[in-house]
Amino acid sequence: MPKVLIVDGEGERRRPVAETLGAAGFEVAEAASASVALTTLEWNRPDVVVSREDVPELDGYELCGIIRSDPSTKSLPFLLLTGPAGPQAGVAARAGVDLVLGGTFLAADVVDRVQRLVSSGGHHA
Amino acid sequence: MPKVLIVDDSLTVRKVVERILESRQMQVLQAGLGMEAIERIERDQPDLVVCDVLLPDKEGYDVCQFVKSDPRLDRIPVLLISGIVNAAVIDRAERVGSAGVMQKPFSAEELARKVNDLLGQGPAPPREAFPGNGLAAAAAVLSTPAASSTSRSTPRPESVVPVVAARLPEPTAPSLEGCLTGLAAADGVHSVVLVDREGQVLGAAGNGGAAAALGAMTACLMSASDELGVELGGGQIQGLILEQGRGLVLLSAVGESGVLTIVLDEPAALGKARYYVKKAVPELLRVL
Repeated sequence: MPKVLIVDGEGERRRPVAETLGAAGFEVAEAASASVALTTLEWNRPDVVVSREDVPELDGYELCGIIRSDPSTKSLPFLLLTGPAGPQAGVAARAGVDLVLGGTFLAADVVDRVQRLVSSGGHHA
Repeated sequence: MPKVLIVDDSLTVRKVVERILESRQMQVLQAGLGMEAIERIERDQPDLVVCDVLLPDKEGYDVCQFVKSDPRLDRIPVLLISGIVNAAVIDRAERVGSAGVMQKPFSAEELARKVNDLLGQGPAPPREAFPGNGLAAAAAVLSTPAASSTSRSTPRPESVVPVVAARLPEPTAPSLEGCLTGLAAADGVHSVVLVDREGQVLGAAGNGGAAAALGAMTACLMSASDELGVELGGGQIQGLILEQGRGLVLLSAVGESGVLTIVLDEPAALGKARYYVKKAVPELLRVL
């Protein structure tokens, strides 16, 4: 069962996505901040990381950048969820984000993107 | 500016600690190995050491003991960090004079609070107050004056090691699958199977679909080895290493009733694999 780590400081936003992913057959782990997410990765390694752009402590881009800089985590697929304005031009790509889902989206859209990333077999630089 | 040394073989953990503490006006030094940590402590004399309990070449307890046994260094508090915090860990941490044990994962606030406490200074707010984006974060200016280095004081000795419990908003319970997947993701590891002494597969991760066959053979080999162990007078065999054409198969006892079988793609991965197993066994015992 593929495992997804969801990083979002707002529980009311995070939980519906977690529940939908769980219902779709994924094992879901949740982190409410970047530091919790990053210190979780050492042992609770997911198949995909899903992060909001505006997570507490570090933002989603920095979170992805740290994951990409570590040889043991650099291949983790990374989905970034952004607000209506969408991602900052070029920043997502430079950070190593694999997919961006912006604007108004449903939890089912997140499941769709996660399934794509699982099928892709990891991050390709 | 206080100087903090973070010792952890995980680059991710080192980087996140660096980000958390540098944003709070601290200088952060890094080491990925125990020996490297000892060299840095002697050379740079940090104000605080934050050290993982399990390192590839040493244990965090050893690093702490080194610091506490040297009169030139023994003022330096050593905060241990560990994925597992139980009575045994706390006891060992206390015996080597550690300033505390903090459980991983941890939040920035938890780490900063503990570090500030050990440095004897008030909290310094982070420079980046939850930035909305990376560019804004990169361009953020200091929102508070840097903490004065003169505000530091000699850390107080503590007779009882306090455990900083990880107050996670929604903690993620360790899972057997998570442990095995973590092991299988290590460099050079092909696949991992956990079986009981009867050969029943309790969990598997990694490549290949031969878990059932590996389980049966593992039970058979460990059973035969146990007899050898008794014959030799040394008790139950704790592990076996089997050489294959291109790689190795490592069998390691997990407590009384489990055996972890790790198939390695290359012999050079053996040292790392044994280290990862050492880290994983307490976690596996907890979830079994």
